[in-house]
Order: sequence, then structure tokens, then C-alpha cells
Amino acid sequence: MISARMRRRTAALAVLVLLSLALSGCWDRVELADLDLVSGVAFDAVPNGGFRITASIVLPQNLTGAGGAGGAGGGGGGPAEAVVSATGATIGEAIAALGQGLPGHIFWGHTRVILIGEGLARRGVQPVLDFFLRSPETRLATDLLVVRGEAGPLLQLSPPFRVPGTDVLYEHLRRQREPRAFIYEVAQSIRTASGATLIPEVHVGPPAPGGSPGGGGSGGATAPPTLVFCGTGVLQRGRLTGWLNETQMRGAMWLLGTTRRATVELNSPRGTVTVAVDKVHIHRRAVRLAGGVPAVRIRIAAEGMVGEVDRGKVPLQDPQYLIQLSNILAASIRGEADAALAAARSEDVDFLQFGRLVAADQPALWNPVHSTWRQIFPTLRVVITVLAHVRYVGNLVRLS
Amino acid sequence: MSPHAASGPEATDPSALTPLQIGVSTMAMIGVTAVAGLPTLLTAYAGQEGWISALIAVPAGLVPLVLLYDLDRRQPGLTLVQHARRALGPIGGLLLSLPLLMLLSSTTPLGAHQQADIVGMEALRRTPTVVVVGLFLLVPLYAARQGREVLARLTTLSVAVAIGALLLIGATSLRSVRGENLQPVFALGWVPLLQGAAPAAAWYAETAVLGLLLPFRATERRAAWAAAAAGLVIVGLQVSLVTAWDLSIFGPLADQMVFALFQVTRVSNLAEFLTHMDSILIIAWVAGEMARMGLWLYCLCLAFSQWLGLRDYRPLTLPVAAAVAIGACTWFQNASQFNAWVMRVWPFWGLALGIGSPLLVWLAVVLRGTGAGRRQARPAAGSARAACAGPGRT
Amino acid sequence: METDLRRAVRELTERLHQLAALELNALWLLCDKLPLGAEPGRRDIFSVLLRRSSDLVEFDLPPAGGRIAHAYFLSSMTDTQVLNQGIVGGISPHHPAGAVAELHAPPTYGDAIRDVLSGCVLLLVEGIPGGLAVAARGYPKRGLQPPVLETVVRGPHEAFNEDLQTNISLLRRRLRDPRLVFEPLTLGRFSRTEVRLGYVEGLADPRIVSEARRRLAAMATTAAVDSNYIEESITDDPYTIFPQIDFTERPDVVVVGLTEGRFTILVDGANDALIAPVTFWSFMQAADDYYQNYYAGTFLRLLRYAFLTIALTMPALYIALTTFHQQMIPTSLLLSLMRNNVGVPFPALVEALIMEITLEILREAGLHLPQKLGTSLSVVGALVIGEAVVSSGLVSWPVVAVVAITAIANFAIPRWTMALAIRFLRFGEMLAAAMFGLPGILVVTTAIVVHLVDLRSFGVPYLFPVAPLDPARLQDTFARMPHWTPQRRPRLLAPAWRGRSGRRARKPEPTGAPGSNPRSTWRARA
Repeated sequence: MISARMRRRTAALAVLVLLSLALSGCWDRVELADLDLVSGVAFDAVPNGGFRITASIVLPQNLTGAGGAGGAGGGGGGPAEAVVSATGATIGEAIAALGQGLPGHIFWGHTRVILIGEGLARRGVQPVLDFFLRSPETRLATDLLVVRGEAGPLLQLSPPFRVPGTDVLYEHLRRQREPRAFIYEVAQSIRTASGATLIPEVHVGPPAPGGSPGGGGSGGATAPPTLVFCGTGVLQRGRLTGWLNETQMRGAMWLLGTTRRATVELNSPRGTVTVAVDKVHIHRRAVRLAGGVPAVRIRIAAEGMVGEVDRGKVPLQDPQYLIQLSNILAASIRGEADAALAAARSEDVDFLQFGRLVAADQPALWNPVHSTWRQIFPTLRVVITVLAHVRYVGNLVRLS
Repeated sequence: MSPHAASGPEATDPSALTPLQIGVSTMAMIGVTAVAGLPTLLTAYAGQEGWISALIAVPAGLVPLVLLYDLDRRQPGLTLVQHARRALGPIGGLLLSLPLLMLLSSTTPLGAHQQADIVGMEALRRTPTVVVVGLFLLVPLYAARQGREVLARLTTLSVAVAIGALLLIGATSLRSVRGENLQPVFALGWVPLLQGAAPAAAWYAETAVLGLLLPFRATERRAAWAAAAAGLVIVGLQVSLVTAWDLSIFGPLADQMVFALFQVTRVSNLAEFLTHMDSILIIAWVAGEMARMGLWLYCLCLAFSQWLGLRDYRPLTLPVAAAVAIGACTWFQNASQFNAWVMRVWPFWGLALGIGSPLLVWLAVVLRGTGAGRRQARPAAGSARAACAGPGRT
Repeated sequence: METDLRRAVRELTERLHQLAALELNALWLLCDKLPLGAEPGRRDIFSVLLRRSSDLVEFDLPPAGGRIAHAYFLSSMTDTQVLNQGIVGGISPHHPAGAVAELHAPPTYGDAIRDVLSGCVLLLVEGIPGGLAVAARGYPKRGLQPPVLETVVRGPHEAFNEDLQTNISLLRRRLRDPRLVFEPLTLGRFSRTEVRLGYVEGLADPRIVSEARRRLAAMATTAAVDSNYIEESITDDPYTIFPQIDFTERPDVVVVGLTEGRFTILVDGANDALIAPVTFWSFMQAADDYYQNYYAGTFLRLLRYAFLTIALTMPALYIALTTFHQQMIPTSLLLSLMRNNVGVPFPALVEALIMEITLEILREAGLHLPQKLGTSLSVVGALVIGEAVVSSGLVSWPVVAVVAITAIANFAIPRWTMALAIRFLRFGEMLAAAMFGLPGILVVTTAIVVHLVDLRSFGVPYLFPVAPLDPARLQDTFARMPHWTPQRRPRLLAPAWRGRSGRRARKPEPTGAPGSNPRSTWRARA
């Protein structure tokens, strides 16, 4: 046991150290009031190789919520977010410029959406990824979106509800949008064998008549401008090389195995039927063909239910018809997949991750070809098998 | 009471460690920094097979344990430093235990530095390094002064907390795991695997330091050593699992992530509500690191006190902790220097000292016959069990 | 020798009113040495020494057997009924005095005087050496009342009161075993407080009991007014904030402790009993746990650990998360916190401190306030302070909520002494959080853990059986095991001991007699 004297001395020392810390401490403290919380950010290229950052910053006093009696002034009627923008030769410089116009500490910890303008995406998203991966306060599972045209104006759209505009984007992505691209996944794709990935695309639709796309101060009654989500951008080693339309995107998801559910419109000889595919199992494998050539085999198994009957008299009570419908579903999925494959081949970008697949499954075949993969890839044999079943008709057999 | 314990400088602290306490102490002493630092090194060398390297390096940690076991069999109840003194006398023993002291006095500030690096980067970026280092040495200093029994109890709790927190992080990041990132397996050949195993082996060979804890066992020798070996194996599995986890989430990015385990918390999420789980990891990390630092500090001070022939190690704790703090603050100027040292120098340094220190002492003891030890052990087969009781209460 | 003593005592007694303090002390020391003989002047000594007590009654009993007896007693300490029936009447040949109450012969003058002071009637019969002290204690005391601090829904509602004899009888009634012993002690240089060291022989570790005896004998105090005077003097670590001895006002809790091999210290004048050795975990166990269904008991006990964590760390966590690690707060929650924080001028630490200190004021005022004003205080507290502090923009609502939850969680800790320690440590956690965020909280918490791990209560590690870990004895730590489980007592309490409560009849065996209660059959057999 320690003597009481030593104990006392140690305690005194500890108290001294703690006191001196308390007096000079709190280096990392940032009070909530000093926080400029960036809920969403858009990066655009400016001509001379610089960046323009547009950030939407939450204005807490204007947020609505339960128990709004607290705080000063009682939840005013202003917009929930302020959109600020700055340019700089580097991202750091642009952020510094951004900070000069803001009262507090720019905080990236709750940034949920990162938008990249088309121009910057074509130049390369690497600096953006670098910034977000390096900083410890950001989340790595933040959504990345590519915008056709300029990204900045998109943040300026004020939503019809008094929630931060980026909330609308984020919630849409979270609930409805597949595929999503997280920054760490995009960063990963730069270093994978395939080197390509897909990023969801968004753009501003034509503003509704009488709408005011900018600012959005008192435009309570005006129709909101539309956000259009369609297709994806294709990134090759961090650079945007092209776009996929809706069909190609769906095909790519079938081939990548990321489809969880899908709604497919089928034109059968007797009428138009929409099938909700809700059970999907996709198996991807690289195989070795005779002669040491790699090939890719993809099996897609999909099961669905009739979601609605749009046109025509469809004999859903007929078992043969459902089998016929299943075949049409298979053909439709196949068609989407073929479209994606064709796009990949024609653009010569391996966003379908076949290179990664070959490297993983057939490492012996991969090593000799990995340097020339982009030449080999367009001629790679891809065997797609689709097995589709329309099993249920829902709660109604037929109406007409 | 074994006769040696009473004569040793440790007569002031008669407490002994149960097998469980030895096991968790092993886990804390080696595992905490290994889990944080090793995955990046392993993937840097062995790519997506880093997790295999983590496993094949485990035998390197068993070597010091085997040597220590034999030393204890010959002369129970002595620490490695005492063995050295007994074999070669005060002067020779001084030289002989030098490797162990070098290992201790390099690894302790290294650990303190690594911890300050991680906490400084993840949580306290603007806080001066000295303050961070000092902050995380205060409690270990306090604990080390209370002796090994308190340390062992603290370690039991800390290791439980740390493992719980790790599991929680694993569970919450499960959604981001992509199995294909680990493929192909065994495609790189042996060379990168062994390259990757080198730093891991250096880490595991820190078991040599147990030469300062294992003699104070409460049970028979076999149980104590089995516990230490089990602790080592668990560390190996843990490092392997964490490496595999990092790899399967970050894939080809894993070797570029500094302290990859911390980056996992940035993708983990609990029901899309709790999204930034670094708090959990900080809990695991600090809990484990406090216990680890306390144990290392204790071993370092104990070794020095025995080396100098002092009766009590406690007067040394404060100056040694100050020295460790200074070392941690001044050793490396930047992160890359640290990284380069750990990647290029550490595998040789750690492995050589970790295996070398018990090996030299063992050789000395065997060659000198250390008179009494050998002769006593033979006829005293019956009384060996009594001697096994080790120092202190049983 | 004896005559010298007697002369000295007599001289000092004669000058009693002029004595200096030192001489007075000497007189009492001499009285302790001077044997009570048959000398003629002894009456004078008693009369003089006790005369200043206005409640002294001195009278002569009617001569019996040709001798005159003098009786001394304090009217304030003696039951006059006993006195009248037992002694005055008892001296007559029909009623032997011995039938009334305990009797003993004080060996010295000092003892005799103390006997009178403790409520005995001292009888001195002329010409017969020595005296007779007849216990006829009777002084005002409370009747049995329900416990104030440790209330239960189900279970006995009897609490200790301030009378030692009552308290002992409360225990005896629940534990009728000859092995239950109460060793008598007298503590306090002036108070001469009656203290009992109670334990069950064969269950309590004799080493622990003798250690307790040693510490009790070694302690020095002028007046042991309450059990805490003794508790503080005999703990293992005198500097810690954590309680190392439990106190309870419930006899049933003491009985359980005794059967677990602990010892108890009863203090005359204290309405609680001390129990030791204890561990940290026993401070988290409420008597209620054992009186209700064990699932409920376990659930509540686990909840209590959560409350403990909340009480210790919640304000600190709030400070750390809102000022250091905002990224860890879920986005929607953070936005709500920010909205509430608009216009509050203080840093989070100051906000939390304002609220905490306000609450401490309320609590402290509530303790010292006359009961009739209690309701007005709660109105002031809840309405004025809660509402006013927020609407004046001093503190934001979330802080009020956090501090309020913390305070309530603190009340949920079943033992007052532990709750007090946690309440105190919370401020340390808050300061650390304000300086270093989460790492600071963890450093302080780890320091507390190191301290806990280092503590012992009469040699038993404070965190046993968790650290050092003893899985076999964890059963009653976090869970409340059913009463029929074979229970094992903490090994460190008594190494040689095997099991406490035998086993449960898993399935009552059917018995021949129809309608007989199978359970009672088993009982009878067991």
C-alpha cells in the first residue's frame, strides 16, 4: 500500500494538472450556437481549374418542430436553410472563402448529400472524395449525386415544405433510389480492377409556371420546381465519361446484382400489365472457358406479382397466361440487361464490375490480362440467364 | 510463499494473478494497439489476404512464452530480469536484461504516441499533443502505482468493455460488408503473406514482456501459461477478424486508410439513426488503452527497479511516466515518419527484442546451469507443485 | 494502595466545585480504579458526584434484615413502574428482587456511577461490600414505525428505531439461532454508547469478525451519536467517497446480510444498522428485489444499473456530444437541439451547471424546509425555476430535460450513500467532458473504476465478484436469482462455507395423503 503522504502528494499533483488544464483547456470545444451545419453541398468546376462550393447551411431558428415555444422569436417564417457559395482554386481555398461569409464554424459532420456538377465530374471527382475521406468529422456513407449541368442552383431550390431542401433529396435517396453511391464506395472504385462505378443522377426539371426557382423567400403558394431523378452517370477512375438512361441503369442493376425490387411494365398480346418484382436473386460468377479465356455468367432469378392491369382484357385466371407473362418478364429483364451491356461495351467502361469479378473468381486468368483489360472487356463473353416467375395476381383476379 | 518471492524486490506486493487475469492482461498488452495499428500494415503488405498474415504470425508470439515457461520451470517465481541477475550476477544481468528494457522502453512511448495520434486525430484535433499524451497517462500512472492486482482487475473490466464495443461496431457495420472484397484467397503466394506477417509477429512477440507478470501466478504453471497462450491466440483471431472486416468494407482502399478500424465507424449505422458510431469505438479504445498503458508502465517500472536492484518500483512510476510522455511527444515528427518506422524498422526491432530478450536469458540460464535451479528441480518433483504456487497468496 | 485511592477520591470529591478540568478527569480515572467496598463514606461520594444531576433520586429503602439500603437512580432513565413493583416492593420478602430484571454488581465506583447514568437502580446496603445495579431502564422511545428511506411495496414494514434493545429483538425474532451473537461494546469516551457487534458464528469469517472487533476497539471518538460516527472510523479507506459499509433501517435486510456471513453493528441511539463487508453491487440491490417475482426483480435491478450510468454520465455526455462530437448526434436530434439552443448565451457546461446547481439548491432546501412548506417549494421549483429559466433564455429545454432525468435517475439508486457519491462524481465527469469531450469522460470513469477496483470493505474487494471475476458467484450481482436456487456465498467472505439455502424441491413429490400440501411435505422431510 502506498503511504498516505505519497497518496496525498499524488492527489495534489493530479489536482494541479487538472486545474491547469481546466484553466487553459477546451481547445476542441465548439458550442452548438457556433455551428454552421452544412446539410448539403454542391461542387462545381470553374473554368480556370478551380472549384465553386455551394453549401446549404441550416438556420436553426427557422426550423419547425414540436414544442416550438422555445428559443427566440418562436420559429420564424424564414427559409430553413441559407445557401451560400464561394469559389477558390482548391477545395480548401473555396471552403476558407465560404467561411469568411459565415459567423461560425463550418461543420461537415452532418452533410448528407454531396452534389457534383457535370463539369467537375468530367474533370474528376477525386479532390472532393479526398476532402471527405480525409476529414474525420464526415461520414463515409454520404450519398454522392451527379447533376446534369450546374450543381449549385439545385441547392437553391426551396422545397414546398419547411424542411431543409437537402432533406428532400436525402429522404428521396434513402427511400426510393437505387443504386446509391456512397463516397467511400466511389473512392474504392478508383482502385478496383474495373475502375468504374455508377452515380445516381439528378437535374432540375423545367420550373412550373409562376415558380421562383431562386431564393424562395415568400413563394409559399407557387408550384415548386421539380427535381428529376433519372439514370446514372458513369465514372471511370473518378471521371464522368457518360450517362446511362433509365433502361440502361435498370439493366446495370440487374447485372450488378444490386436490384432489390423493380416495377416492370409488360406489353403482352392481350394487354399491358405492370409486374412488381419483389424477390430477386442474382448470381454472378466468372468462369474459365476452354483456352484459358475468362467469361462471365450471370443468373437472374426474379419473382413478382401483378401490380396493375393497364389496358386490355388480360386473362389473369389462365395459368398459361401467367407463364406467358413470366416469359415476357424474363425477356424484358433480359432486354434491360442487354441494353446495359451494350452501353458498357460501346463506351468501353467496365461499370458492370466484370474485371473485379474475374479478379476475384479467376485470379489466375486475371493476372495476365489486367493491364489490357479495357481491350479485352468489350469482347468478354457474358452469359445472362434470366428466370422469371409471375406468381401472384394480387388480391383481384380481373375487373373487366 | 516461495522462498524467492520474499527475497525479491517484489516482497512489498504479494498479490498473484489468476489465469483469467493473465489471459486478459495478455490481450490488453498486445491486442489493443495491434487491433488499431496492424490492419493497415497487414493490408499494405498482403493486400486482401492480410487477415491470413495476422494468423500465421501467431507462433512468433508463442516462442517467448515457451522460453519463459522453461525458465519458470527451472526457477519458479522470478521475473525475466531476476533470472538474468541470478544467472550472470548484477553486472552481467544488467547487460542481459538490456534487450527487454529496450523493448519495454521503446514500446511504451510508441503506444502512448499511437494513442495520442488516434485520439488527437479523431476527437481532440486542436488540443496540444502534450496534453493528450498526459491525459492518457494519468490514469495508467495511478493504476500502475496500485500494483498488478488492481491492474489485472481493471484489465478484466476494460477488456470486456472493449470487446463488447468492438462487437457492436461489427454489428452496426455489417450492412457495408462485401464478401467479394476478400476474394480471391491464396492468390498472392507466400511472399506477401510472410511480409505482412512480419510486423504482426513483432507485435505478438511482445509476449516477452509477460516475463514480468507471469511469475506472479496464483495457480500452477501450466494454467497460467495456457491462459497467456490463449490470450495471444485470441489477439491473433481478433486482429485477423478486424483486418478482414476492414478489407471487406473498404476493399482496395483498406491499405490507404489510416487506422482503418476507426474508419469503419464512419460507415456503420444503427437503423439510419445513429450514424456516426465513433463514440463507441472511442469507448472501446480508451478503455482498452488505459489498461494496456497501465500494464506496460507497471512492467517498465518493475523491470527498471529490479534492474537497478530497488526494493520498490513505485518511486519510479512518476519519472518513468514523464519520460514516456516526453518520448511519445518527441519521437516522431509526423504521421508518415511514424508509419515508416512501424513498417520498416518495427518488424525487425520488435521481433529481435521480443524473441531475443527471453532467448538470451534462457541461454544464459541453461549454459550457466544456474546451479541450484536445475538441481533443485529434479529431486523436488513432489515439492515442485508447492513451489508452483508461486509468490504470494494462492 | 486502596486506602490512598480512597483518600484521593474523597479529597477531590470534597472540593468538587473548585476542581480544574485536569483534576476532574483525574477524579473520574480514580473512580474507575477504586473498588466499591463496604466503607462507610461511600454514600457521600455518590451523593456528591451525582448531585449535580437534577434528575437524581436518592432514597432509603425500608430496613430489611436489619440493614438499611440506599438506592440511587435517575428519574429520567428509569421506569418507575419497574422500580415500584420490582425494587421497592421486591425488597420485601414476598417478592425477590432477582425475578424482576437483570442484576449485576458494579466492581468500581466508576462502573456504579455509569450504571446509574445508564438507567440502573443502584442499591447500596450498609455494611455489605459492593453494590447491586438493577436494570430498570425506562426512557422515552419511539414505537416501531415503517422505514422512511427504504420503502417496499411488498415485504415487512418494520424499521429499526433508536433503541438498541428493540433493534436486537427485531433481529432475534427473525433469526432464532443460538449462533447469532451480539458482542457488547461501549464506544465514545463521553457518550458511553452501547454498541453491539452482531454476526452468526460459523457463517461469518472469524478473521473478518476479529478485524471488525480490532477496528472498533481501536477507534477513538468522544461521542458516538450515530452509526456514521462509527462507520467513518472503521472503514478500510478513509479517503474514499464511496460507502464501504452499508447501512439499513430494515431488520430483514440485516438478517439476510447475517445469513450471508456479514456482520452488523448496532448502535444505541441510531435508527439503523451497519452491515459489512459489502461490495459495490450490494448498494444496487433493493430489498424490494427479493420480495417480488424474480424476473421483475432482475429487470428492475438491471434497469437500476442503467440509472446509475445515467446519473453519473448523462449531463457529461450531453456536454461532450453537443460541444465536441456533434457528428455523433443523429441529424434530426441535432437540428432539434440547435433549434432549442437559439438565443442561449452560455456554453453548454455553464448551462448544465446552472441547472444542476439549481436542482441541488432545491434538493437541499427541500431537506431543511419545514414539511408544511414542501408543496410551495415544489411549485417554486417546478414552475418558477424550470419554466422561468428557459423562457428567460438562460438555459435551453434539452438541458433542463437532461438534468431532470439525471436527478430522477439518481433517486432511483436504492442506497442513499451511493447516490450521494454518484451525485458528487457527476460534477467531475461534467468538467472532464467540457475539457476533453468523450475521451475526458472515459478518463475520469476509468479513474473511478481503478479506484473502485482498489477499494476493499473489510478485505473484500469492492467489485467482487466481477473484478476479480468469479463467474460462479455472479448469480446475485446483476440478476436476482430465485430463492430456490442453491446459493453460494461470496467466497471471500468465508472460504470454508458451502451453501446457504439448500435446494428447492424441483417437483413436489406426490404424497399418499390426498389433499395434503406437497410443499409442506417436502419441508417436513427436509
